[in-house]
Amino acid sequence: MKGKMNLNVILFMGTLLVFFLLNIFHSDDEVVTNLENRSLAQKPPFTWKSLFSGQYVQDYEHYFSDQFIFRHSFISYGKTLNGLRGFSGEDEVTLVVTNGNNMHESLDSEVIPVFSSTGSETTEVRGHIVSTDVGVQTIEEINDINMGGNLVGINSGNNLQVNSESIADADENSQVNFGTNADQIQGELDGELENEIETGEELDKNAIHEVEEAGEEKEAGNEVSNNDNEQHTEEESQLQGSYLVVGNQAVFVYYYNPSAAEQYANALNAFSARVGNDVNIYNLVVPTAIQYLNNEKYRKMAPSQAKAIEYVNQNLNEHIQSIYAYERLEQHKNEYIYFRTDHHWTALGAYYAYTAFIEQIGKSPVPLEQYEESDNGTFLGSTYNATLNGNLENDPDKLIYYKPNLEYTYRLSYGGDLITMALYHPNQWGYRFFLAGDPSWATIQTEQEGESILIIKDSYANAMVPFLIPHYKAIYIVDGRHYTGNVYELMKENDINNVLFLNSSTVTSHPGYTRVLEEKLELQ
Amino acid sequence: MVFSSLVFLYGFLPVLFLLYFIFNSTLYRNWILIIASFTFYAWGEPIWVLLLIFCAFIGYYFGKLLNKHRGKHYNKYILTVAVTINLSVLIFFKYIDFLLQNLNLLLNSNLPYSGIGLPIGISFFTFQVISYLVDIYRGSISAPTSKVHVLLYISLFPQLIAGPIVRYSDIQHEMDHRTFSLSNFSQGINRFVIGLGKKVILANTAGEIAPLFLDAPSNEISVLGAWFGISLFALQIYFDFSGYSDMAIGLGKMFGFTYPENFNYPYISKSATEFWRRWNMSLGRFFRDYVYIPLGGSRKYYVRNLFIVWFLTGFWHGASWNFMFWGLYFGTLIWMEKKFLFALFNKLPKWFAHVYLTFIMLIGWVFFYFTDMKKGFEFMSSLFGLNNNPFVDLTVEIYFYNNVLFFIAAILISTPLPKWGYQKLLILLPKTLHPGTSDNITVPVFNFVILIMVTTLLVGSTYNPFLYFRF
Repeated sequence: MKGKMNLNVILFMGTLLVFFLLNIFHSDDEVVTNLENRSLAQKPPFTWKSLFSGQYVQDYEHYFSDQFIFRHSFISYGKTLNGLRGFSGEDEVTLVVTNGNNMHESLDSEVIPVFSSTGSETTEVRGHIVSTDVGVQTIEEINDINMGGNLVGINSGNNLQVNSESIADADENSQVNFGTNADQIQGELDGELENEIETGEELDKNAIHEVEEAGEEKEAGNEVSNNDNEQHTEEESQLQGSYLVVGNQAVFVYYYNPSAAEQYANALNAFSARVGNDVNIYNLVVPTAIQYLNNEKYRKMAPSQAKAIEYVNQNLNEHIQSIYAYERLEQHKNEYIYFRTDHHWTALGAYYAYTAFIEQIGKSPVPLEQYEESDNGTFLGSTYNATLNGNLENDPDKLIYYKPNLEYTYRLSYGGDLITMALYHPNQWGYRFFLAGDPSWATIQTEQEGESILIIKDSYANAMVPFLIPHYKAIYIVDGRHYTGNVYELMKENDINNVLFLNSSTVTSHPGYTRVLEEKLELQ
Repeated sequence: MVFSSLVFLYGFLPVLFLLYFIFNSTLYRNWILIIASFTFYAWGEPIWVLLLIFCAFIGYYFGKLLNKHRGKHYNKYILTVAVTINLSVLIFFKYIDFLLQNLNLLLNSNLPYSGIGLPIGISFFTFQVISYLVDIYRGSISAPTSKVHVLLYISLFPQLIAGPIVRYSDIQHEMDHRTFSLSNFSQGINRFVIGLGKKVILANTAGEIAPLFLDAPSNEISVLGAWFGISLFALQIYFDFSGYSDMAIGLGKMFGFTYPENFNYPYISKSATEFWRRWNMSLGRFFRDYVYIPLGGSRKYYVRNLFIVWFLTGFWHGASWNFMFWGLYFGTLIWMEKKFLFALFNKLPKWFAHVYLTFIMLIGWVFFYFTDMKKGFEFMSSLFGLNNNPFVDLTVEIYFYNNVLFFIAAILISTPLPKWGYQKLLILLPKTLHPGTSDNITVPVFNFVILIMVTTLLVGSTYNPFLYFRF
């Protein structure tokens, strides 16, 4: 009898102690996780203030679980365990819950990169995605990590941080803890983490330097925008979502909220009223992949996005022109217009939307044949990361792109000054390849004669923007979620009289993004 | 901190065990437990430790006072003051904003809210102080001479934040006279691991899927989807709460304390009356001994007493109308059962009573889940297909097939069947294969496997809410 007791005690206590000691002594803190497409929490800096506010322990718990020994193995075993819950049937269909119910927050509106200049500000970092210091790592090393997979959030310099208020907010408001998965989803759905620093080509060394400098000139606007994000209510963060995996494709299950669609239309109307009738305003809402899923049975799980987009269009005033991209995409639905392992569309899908747009404004599109088709290898994107589905893993997406045949200069800003960058970024994995991610704003100056256009967009625009280069003198790209400047001044200074709102159909599911637009564009 | 977190399992617990077993004096060990409990409590919300200590000291000083004046006619006033202070703490921190909100609605006024967050576990530790004071007043215990005892009783971390509600007499003796035994420790491990598995493997999984159906727009879910969702919620809340109680009892045992049982397979009950004898038993006992019986029990004003108790039971679960409604719902059922339903069930086959209980229990969880009662009633309509919703749809079909093994297993584990099967197996197996003789391997290995599974799932996902924290 004594033997039994001992073995039980030894196994239990042994496990506790072994993991305790292993976690203490493995100090090699990982900075990023390729699997989850995000940066890992680092040990939070200790301050009495953060201890008493409870922030310190919260961060510490994130750190503890993020840096847990054998974490990757545990995660993949966890997926195997979850697979034992039931069956996927002959269609190989599974639905995967997006755990954190704040995903819609992060989907649209919430992740704001903050380039801070003082170390003490790291205490402001909340949630899971905290500053990830690569410190003095060499460019080569950074590249190594970058090539390793779906990597984001490399931080160069010392004080770059992503402030994900939304997570902390939701954490306080609702019962659900947002840890790993919420952040993961945040990365995935939003088109990856936001504090991307370019590395790779020779200019990147420069870029890092510039970003560091930019950080030191941190704009007050950043602070303001962060505060804005704290106002979101529990109700919004309570939304749920799921991914549908059919065979080798994983898509987010779209849902429709008419009042969100109305709100988006109203925001655009307010913008139109504000800029007056001399400015041409276009609205292009991109459906998500499930709209064109190649299986009618499962496609019908989500309401029609065409109807939702049509509802937005009906609510727009007569000065705003609607672009019927969804009809064009419908015609090509059997082509490779959406990634199977990522929630974005492909360059080909974006091209078809572009033809709809350019024809609508009375120009003729550049035929696809005139472009040289290249590819940047294969990748596993956000919907793979969300589901870790084996069928997807065995059949990654191919990243095909079309290079413009013209001269142009692409410059972007992640909060500071504009930095020259490659339009297609070879060191960026997956969809971030296009426009090098989601900068807060960017410009493309071409050598064309003609007008300028401003695109107010989410990440779906990134694959389409390159096709617009032949048609404009200058393209200004503003990410509604991250831009901190004044759009009206930007328009005035650069004599812009075309504005394209290019966003995904998420604006018809959830008002988060629209609300950010309303704040940023002062539409209320 | 919560038990089902990596920091607790692989940080807090090993350190505490090391410190605890280095010292061999009960006094030191008691202090180690108190400090550990404060750390445990302060994790996340440091400021409320002061509130905890305040309540413990109220308990200590008033306990001494009550002890001294026992038998005096004015002693009940001392008790009244002490209990009032404790209840005020509870009302202020838990109910004040609810009261203000309704006052504002009623008077059309605009009183500002306090904005105070609910201190974790306040519903549990204030009740423990109250039971302690009343027991001293009644003379069933005498006040301890040392503050350590009271602090330990109030703050001991295993029961601190989600029960069971322990009485002082339960652990009085063990505070000074507990001896360590490997056999007890081992049993404590068994119990703790079972609770951990219930919480992390079963409750969290159910809790991952249930909200998809419960929080969906009520016209978009199918009838079966609604039933699937609420059944998953029933599993989630049972495994969550009973798992937590198991962990508390197991941890208590490891340190030499015996806590009362809190759950006894509530879902196999045949009536609401029986359900509440099997669900959160320590709470039921509390209301019985400190409210119901003092009011006169079933002998005097039975109906009034019954509804007071069930109103309070409901309201205790949260500062919101739906919880009151939920409590009164069960009060009404229990009253009806006594009035005529039991007589009726006696004439019907036994399975009928089980179906009845399952039905009213699931309906009850609808009231419980939706703090917004309007949404609750909308969901209720979906359950009965009154929202023009389809009977079944693809979403529920896929989720059901994807999780069917889990669902069946969870239902089985919520009944005594596994235990019964295990015992049957012992009888059927030949002596040589008897787990009784190979128990020295099977149980430890079982525990180990569960622990590793739990760790895997915890690392894999930090989705880890403790439902009962809002109470």
